[in-house]
Amino acid sequence: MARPGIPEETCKRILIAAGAALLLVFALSPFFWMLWVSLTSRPDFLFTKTVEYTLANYTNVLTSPTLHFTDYFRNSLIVASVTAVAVTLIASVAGYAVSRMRFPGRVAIPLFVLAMSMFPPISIVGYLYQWFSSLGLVNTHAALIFPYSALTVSLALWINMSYFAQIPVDLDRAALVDGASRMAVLFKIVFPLALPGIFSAFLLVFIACFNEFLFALMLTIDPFAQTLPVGIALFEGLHGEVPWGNLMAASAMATLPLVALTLIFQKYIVQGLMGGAVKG
Amino acid sequence: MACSVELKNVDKSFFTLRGRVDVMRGISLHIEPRELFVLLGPSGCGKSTLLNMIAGLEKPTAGSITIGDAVVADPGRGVFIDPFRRNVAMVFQSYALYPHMTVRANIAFPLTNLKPRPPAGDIGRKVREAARLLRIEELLDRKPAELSGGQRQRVAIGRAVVREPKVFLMDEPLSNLDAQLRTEMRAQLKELQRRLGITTVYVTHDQMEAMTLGDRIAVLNEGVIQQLGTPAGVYAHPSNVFVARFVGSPPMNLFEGAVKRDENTRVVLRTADGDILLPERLGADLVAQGKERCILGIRPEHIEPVAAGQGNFDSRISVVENVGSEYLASLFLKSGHIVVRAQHEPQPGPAGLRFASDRLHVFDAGARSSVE
Repeated sequence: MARPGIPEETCKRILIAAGAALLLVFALSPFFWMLWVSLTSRPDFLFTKTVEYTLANYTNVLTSPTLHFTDYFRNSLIVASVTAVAVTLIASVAGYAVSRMRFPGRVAIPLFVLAMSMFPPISIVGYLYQWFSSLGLVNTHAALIFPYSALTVSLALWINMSYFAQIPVDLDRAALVDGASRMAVLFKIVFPLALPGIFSAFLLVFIACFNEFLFALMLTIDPFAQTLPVGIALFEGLHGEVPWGNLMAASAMATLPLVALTLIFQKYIVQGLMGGAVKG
Repeated sequence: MACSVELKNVDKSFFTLRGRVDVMRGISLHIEPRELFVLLGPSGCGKSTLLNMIAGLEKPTAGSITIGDAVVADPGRGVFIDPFRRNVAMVFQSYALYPHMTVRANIAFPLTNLKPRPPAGDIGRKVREAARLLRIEELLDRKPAELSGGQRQRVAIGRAVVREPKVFLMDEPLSNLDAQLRTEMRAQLKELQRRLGITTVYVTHDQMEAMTLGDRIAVLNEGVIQQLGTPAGVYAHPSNVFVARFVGSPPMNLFEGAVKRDENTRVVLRTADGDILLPERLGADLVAQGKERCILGIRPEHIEPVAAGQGNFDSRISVVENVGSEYLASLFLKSGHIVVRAQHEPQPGPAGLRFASDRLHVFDAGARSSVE
């Protein structure tokens, strides 16, 4: 006989939904706040009752010759893409070697790479500046691509390693006996199967580089090489006030490509990050 | 073209943080062209390592491996031919089909790696021939995930035959199939090997598979060949206690004891379960050789249950199982579990066991090897 009141299952669902909603509000409210501010016309929006909605901030950011938004965007795109491609390539081949081949140091290498990425960036950026100055690299894309690659390669390596570990070794062995060279095994068998892992490593490295602030601030000087996070932070109003509308419009435009990428490829990212967590 | 495979004094060691682990010692084998040679042993005995060394997936630590006229591995002379240059084909227990490729692409894969690569028309024709041979033509456009275990196994075999390799290497290829399918595939595999006439090295832990498939078998344990011979020869004349127990199902019954004379001066084997009367000639031989202790072995089908006092040994039948065509009687003794195979149903309770005197095996109690 059914008991009166709300069934236990429904209660559970309500609680789960409420928890999820709370989490969403917590995570998304800054994002919506940013969108809202970017769409309002007045800088003193916090203290007014009536709000006018406008796209002026967006057109201003995109067209103003002094804000250099498109320069920053181009630089971010170049630096993040080149780093992500290079790191993905290096980490895929290295991940395969470390997870499949027997050689001295195969256990130490990933740990060493991980340790390298644990240095606080602030502790190395000063030396990097001096070094890159002497090499004439300061204020170039290369000044960011090299340190970004070194710092993100451990993330990609570990994601790839855990993903490769899921692919049965018998497939490599079968392909070797079937006449494939090591490189053929890598490109014809292992990479196609590890694509979700490799792809999620690519995306995460891309996002990390796209958002990086400290190195970009220290190693680049002007819009020729500065990236979006630095560029946006340097936005100035005409009379020294903070140009909230422009800042938020630029931030929204900087975030949207990442959000879009993540939403489109979320399946791959989840699969990639779950690599090794469950046996296939 | 069928090739011989020769292994001379092959050793294999692994080096770990805890030191050196020897997994194979002094393996020498000559496998004839067209032969179906079975490596039989329990898991961890090194049989798969041996197969991997023939394939080139593992390097021997010492010794040499020759396929046909070509030395493919000889660490002493610095020779090691990569697996992809050996022209051998391997079938894995896990099938190892490439999951992102169709059956057609899986079977074609070895051909696409050939240098120079054959024309697409030739590859297509050979894939269709292999598929026809294994009756999987209608599966060519499916992915491995859409196939049953038996179908996957056929595809794996198709991928092995398509290249017309010098040698087939099979690593427990039937272990993942259910019992009925395994029996069927076993017969088909044997027929296929005969038809193609390709030298085959087959690894299994299943003695039934070894007995039914092999032209010859090598029984391995702890990295050493225990016995090499035809299945019938190994079954009839096991060279040591390990082979005696491992080959045959149910395994050979063993009784360990002291060679003594009873009160009637007859030679008996005094075991923890009582005296076993030895046939006159065997008893005399053991006494003449001065054997004080030995292990007596007899297969279940060479023991006849008789009335107590009528056989070589009196004991008690605990359980009788009807396995369809025959009965298996079990005796739980201090010496271990003894099984008797009988055509007529024995009754549980006190019984005598009569041993076929010409089917007794005697093993040295210390070395555990056969005594002539």
